[in-house]
Amino acid sequence: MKDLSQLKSYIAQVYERHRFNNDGVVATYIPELGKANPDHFGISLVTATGEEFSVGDSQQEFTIQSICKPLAFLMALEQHGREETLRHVGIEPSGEAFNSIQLDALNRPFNPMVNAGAISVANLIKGSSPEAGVANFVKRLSQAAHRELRVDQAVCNSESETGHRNRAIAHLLRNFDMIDGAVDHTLHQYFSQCSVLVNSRDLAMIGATLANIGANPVTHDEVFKMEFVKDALSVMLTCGMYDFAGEWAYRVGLPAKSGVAGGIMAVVNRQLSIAVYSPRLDARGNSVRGIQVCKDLAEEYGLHAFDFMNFGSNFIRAL
Amino acid sequence: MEQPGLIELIGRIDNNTSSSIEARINASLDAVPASLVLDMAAVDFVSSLGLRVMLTAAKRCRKQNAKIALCSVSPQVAEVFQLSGLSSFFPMHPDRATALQAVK
Repeated sequence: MKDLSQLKSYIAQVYERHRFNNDGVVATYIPELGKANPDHFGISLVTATGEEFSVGDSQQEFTIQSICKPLAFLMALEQHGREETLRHVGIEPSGEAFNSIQLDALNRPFNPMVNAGAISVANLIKGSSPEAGVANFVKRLSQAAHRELRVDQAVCNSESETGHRNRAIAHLLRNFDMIDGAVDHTLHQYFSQCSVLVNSRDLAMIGATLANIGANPVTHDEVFKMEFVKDALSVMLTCGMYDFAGEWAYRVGLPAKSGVAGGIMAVVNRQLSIAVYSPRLDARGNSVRGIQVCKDLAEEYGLHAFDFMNFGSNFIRAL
Repeated sequence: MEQPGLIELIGRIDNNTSSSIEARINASLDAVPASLVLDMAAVDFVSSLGLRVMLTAAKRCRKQNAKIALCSVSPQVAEVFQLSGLSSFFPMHPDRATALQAVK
């Protein structure tokens, strides 16, 4: 990329196009989330070379929610390797809603993007103490975002107090020996991970770290092991948008993850990340404006993995 | 011999403009089925969608044995064709006169 001005002006245009779309509703199933201002709208772009561009409420913080899941999965892979990690969680899209209580034939959660899978992953990375496990997770995300992040305790407590379904899922996983006996520790890790405060610029920087094969594009520090970045992007493509994942892969064709607070982080491999914040959600729990923004950008710039512009393998090209 | 089909494109070939450009190209190929010259002198950007419209035009030309040529393509736009690996579909000429000559 030599000149980002085209892309920047297009993003500004897309922002104007969708800013008055008031479809969808703010999530209220975690009471604290209902306090979000439904009109907030921010779009951020960060390239794999560290160039940034944002429009709208890109400094507005919100909780990361499910967007923590591919990152936690990546950390589990780093700590335990593929074989052990995949003993505790599958990689098959479920077609079910994010809070579905369903396990596969091996008694594993279907994938790391549904709550059951994310709880199983939280068990793998929870560390020696509740404090250490959360601190380590927040530290890694801060390195990726290149900003000091923190947990929103009010949201975390709200989730913890009302998350009976997630508690039930954790005990079901315990029943099948998918997670160890420290169920409350695992749930604390999971609720805390979901409650990390980010803004759209942070998400785009984290996404750009994935796009840059695990190295933060500004500091050049290796935040995530290169070897497992592909694993995270793969489950984002197949399972990242809840039960809209198939349609998303069909229409937008990018690895992405959404969260119920209204964030979406999409990654264009080796090039850039786009993040959107807009808290009004559709029936499947995805940000309405966020989806529109990603669709428009994918169409205009041929971001879809199978766009006719894109080559499959540069190795083959080089032969 | 009839005059070659000629369309002068202006500005961006993108989301906003591609459907009207597609209509103009099809109208020209209906009126002059044997040739199409796209003068790109005033085009400063071709998006993925725009490229798709042009590729569709090139494929239609192939099907009906029409000669297609582009002229006065800016280096930035030429690079998009180059990187997409689709430049073989679009013979490029430095100016309009050469392009018109080439499709005769």
